Amino acid sequence: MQEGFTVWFTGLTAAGKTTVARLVAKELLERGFKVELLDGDEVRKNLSQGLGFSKEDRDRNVLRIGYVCKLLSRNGIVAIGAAVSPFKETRERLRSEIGNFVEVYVSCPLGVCRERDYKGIYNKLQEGRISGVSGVDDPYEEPENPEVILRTDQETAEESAAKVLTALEELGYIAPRAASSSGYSEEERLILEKRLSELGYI
Amino acid sequence: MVFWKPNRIKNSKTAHRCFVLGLDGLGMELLDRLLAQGAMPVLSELMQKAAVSRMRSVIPTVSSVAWASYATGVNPAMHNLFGFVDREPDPFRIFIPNASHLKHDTIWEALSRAGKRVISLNVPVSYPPKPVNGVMVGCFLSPSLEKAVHPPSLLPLLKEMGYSLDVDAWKAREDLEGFLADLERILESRFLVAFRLMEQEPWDFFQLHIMETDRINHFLLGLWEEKEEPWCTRFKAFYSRLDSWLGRLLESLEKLMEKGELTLILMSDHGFCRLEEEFQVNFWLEKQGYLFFEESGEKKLPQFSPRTRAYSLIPGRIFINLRGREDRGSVAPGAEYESLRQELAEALLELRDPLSGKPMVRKVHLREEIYRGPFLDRAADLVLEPQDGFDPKGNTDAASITQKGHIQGMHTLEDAFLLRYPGELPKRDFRIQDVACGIMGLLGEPDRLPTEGKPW
Repeated sequence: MQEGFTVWFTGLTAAGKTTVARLVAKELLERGFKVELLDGDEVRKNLSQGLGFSKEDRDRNVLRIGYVCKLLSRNGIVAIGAAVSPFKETRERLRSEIGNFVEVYVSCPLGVCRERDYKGIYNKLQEGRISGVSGVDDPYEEPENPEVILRTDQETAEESAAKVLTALEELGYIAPRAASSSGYSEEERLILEKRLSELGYI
Repeated sequence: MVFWKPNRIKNSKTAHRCFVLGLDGLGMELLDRLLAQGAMPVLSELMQKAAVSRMRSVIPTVSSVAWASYATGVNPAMHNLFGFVDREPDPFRIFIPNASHLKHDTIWEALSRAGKRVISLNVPVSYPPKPVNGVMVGCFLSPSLEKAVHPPSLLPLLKEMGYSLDVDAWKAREDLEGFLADLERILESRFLVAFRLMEQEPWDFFQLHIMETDRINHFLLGLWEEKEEPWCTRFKAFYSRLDSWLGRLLESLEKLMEKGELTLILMSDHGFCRLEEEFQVNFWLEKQGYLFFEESGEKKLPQFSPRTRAYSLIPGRIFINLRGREDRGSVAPGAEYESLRQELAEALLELRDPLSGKPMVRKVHLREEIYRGPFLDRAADLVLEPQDGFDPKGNTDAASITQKGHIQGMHTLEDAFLLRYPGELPKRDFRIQDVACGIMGLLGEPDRLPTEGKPW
């Protein structure tokens, strides 16, 4: 069985984790990989149904996603986890348990996340309807040494996805795009034919 | 799926390292003559103290097949590279093979998996570059530098240092002075980039490939031999320049070698001799009634007629138009196929150069005599081993069986060389596919790459 790997997106709510993770998943699928995307919010609706937002429960949710990623990775699948996962210790635990682990820090200033607020979390907090939002009234511990740092306030989602894919190539997890196709484009073929012909090789 | 197991520790703890300097097409015979003329004092001194062996290249003797055999440690029927061009029989298609067609692991992949840091610059058939644990810059089969570099983050450095994939060979016809200036500039940039990477990157295995030796031999060997000035002096001066770069390389590796932490390997992939005539194999096949073209179509191989019984790809690879394999096959498998191979082999061995009367073909090999492996059925049915001086070509528009082109040198089979310093080489006949096994052993990973070689 060939090994897979886990790409783990961490960052504040509305930083863009799910958006970029979906683009990365799509590209990996097109390159022929088997891919599963485990989104924190989605997982809460099934695998982690009933868990609340206490530190313990949020940790539990992250560890459950991580455990599934581990199972998938060791069975040759690319597992993509996208969850706030605010605690460094928990993420490091995932890294050591999973092994082939690529941490992607989706960095975005809190102000920009508040403006986006797709799920209305920040609004609810402001209205006092919820508490314990990472980065606001609860800590978010930034990764110290992630494999990739995205700046989603400054990059398009496509640029961020490209950064992740380049990192995966450079880390040796996936072949560069060129290596995925065996041939040359028509234009490249003509360049090569001319070069080889001038050398008397064809 | 994972190309190599990523390792957060950048290089391994095993102390021994290896540096390979590949000198494309610098054969033993040419080397001896250059040394005798005092053109390469540094190499001359190194050869006094190093272990040196003559080495046999591969058939066909071209750089792509030779370096693929080196990098994989196996013969072409195991690695699937048979020439600079290849064909799919059904539907018929000519294509340019590259590293994506290699079906066997290479030294750099095997070492990457062992957690070793690998740097490879310009080794033929390293495009597309593999995502090795380290750096890989592709060869002249790369369509552009942008697509040749792993990791891509090194591209700005290479551009800044004026790194080129290859010299513009066309210049050799029109502006020999400019061609030589380009060769020396590219040679310089290769060494300077190598020195920079040696300093800034951790590495266990480093391979720098010099293509410029092959290029100058192709275009100036005859002028040097004929003592035609100023080219004779310039040819020698180029090799002296190369020798100076070798001197700088030795200086930078000296301490590691003295401490016994590094082995240096110098090697070439084939030798060179003067090219007397280009032997146009398809012209001969056509005149002898083995190859036909559709009258209405272009006179190119993809347009050969179903009456065709045999056709050739450069250099000297002859394919039988076999029924059931080729899309318009005409020759029945079994007795008809075998008897045609025999008939062609006998006729080719009888062939004489119309001008000099010299035989043009030394041997005609049945593919199963020289190759063994799962891709044997992709090999040409017959492979010529030419006499020195007669370079088999695959043109379909030639006007005569032999012709003189602008290229002055051709490759030779038995004349590659292998140098190891410090250390010994066993006293035996070396083949180019024996080198990988030795390198894997030097780096303490003899079992990571299955090869056909014996340890040394």
